[in-house]
Amino acid sequence: MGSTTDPARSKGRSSHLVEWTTGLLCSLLVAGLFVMLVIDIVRHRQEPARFEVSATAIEPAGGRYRVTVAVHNPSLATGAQVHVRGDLMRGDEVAESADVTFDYVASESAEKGALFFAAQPSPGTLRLTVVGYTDP
Amino acid sequence: MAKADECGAKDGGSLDGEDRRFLTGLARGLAGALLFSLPMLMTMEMWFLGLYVHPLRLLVLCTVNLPMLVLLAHYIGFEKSIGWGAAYRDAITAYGLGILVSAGFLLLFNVLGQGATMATAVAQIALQAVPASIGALLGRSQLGDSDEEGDEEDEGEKAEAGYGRELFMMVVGALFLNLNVAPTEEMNLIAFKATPVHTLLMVVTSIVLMHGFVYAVQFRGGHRRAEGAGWWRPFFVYTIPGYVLALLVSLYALWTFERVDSVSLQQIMTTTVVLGLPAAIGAASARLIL
Repeated sequence: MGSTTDPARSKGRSSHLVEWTTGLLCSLLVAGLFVMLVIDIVRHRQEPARFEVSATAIEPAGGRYRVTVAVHNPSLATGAQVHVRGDLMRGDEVAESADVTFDYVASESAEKGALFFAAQPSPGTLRLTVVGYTDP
Repeated sequence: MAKADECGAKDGGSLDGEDRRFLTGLARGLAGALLFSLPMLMTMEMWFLGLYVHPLRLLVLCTVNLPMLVLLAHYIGFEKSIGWGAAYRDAITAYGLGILVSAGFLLLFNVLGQGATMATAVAQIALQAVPASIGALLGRSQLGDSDEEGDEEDEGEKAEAGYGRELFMMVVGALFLNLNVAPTEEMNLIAFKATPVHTLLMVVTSIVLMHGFVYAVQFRGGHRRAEGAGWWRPFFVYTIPGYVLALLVSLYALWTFERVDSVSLQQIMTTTVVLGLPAAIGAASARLIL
């Protein structure tokens, strides 16, 4: 009877329960992290970074035209100093060029930036290319 | 601060013991704020963050800081806090000191005011004021004399410290070290250079160091295992939850500094683990020294 009504002992037991429950939940979270990292190790492979660049918006800006560009890197490698060039074509000739450099485009991630042109670009006349990058 | 005003209002007489103790605490707080925040005040990325940090994220950081300081002050305030009122006063004093130190040194370095708008200047100061205010509160605990009266009582209080307090102190330690390194470019670069094997090794290193800091190495203030108790109890009850908290704090810091926007889940995980290493050390150290 004494053991069931002793407040100090029941407090100690409940704080024990809290500590162990926290420990158990956090162990599950850390175990989950390990599982995700092992999955990453299994699917990891050495490959060069790849980039897909597209124009997401063309709009007038201060007497010129701003082209918002998105660079997506679907590979498992990160690219640094990713240099994107946009050419406005008139027939086979390059009428105007603009370029931008992204510090990093992380693996399986995307970054956004903008290019400015004096003439109005259109999807038919704008050519976007990744000129080069370095390994981080 | 009210105390300082009262003290100024005294009729030119000498300071009594309590006022002197408060002013000493204030000086220690100032020294702590400087000692802990100077590396960040002289970090370029922190200045630039003020130019582009999301206002809502900055507001969350500054708002969360206040209750955290109150809790911290409750345990290790400028003066031995006896209640929440005193803890609140100490916290606000520390926050004020943090703002003053940040503004003063950013002005001294001529970082503020060069083409900056009021909004960006305020953001730059607000960002720096958070670690500076934590430093101001920690300054009292770290720079105090070890033979000062009341320390014995502090030890007694520490021994009775509850589990929640231990976890809270780990969060403060993790956040403090995190704020020092999270805004730097190097965090991203290390994450980009790391292969998944490196990341896994960083997790293991963080956990081993964290556990070693507090239990194996038995620093002053570190926990000693009860005779016959297994290593796994402190490991599961303190080290693992401490590491999870260090990771959560890291993720929060990365979110605040806009390092998790538009990157993949895998990359977020890697950067969090990278930042989790200093956070884990901060969390473990906090349990030793706070």
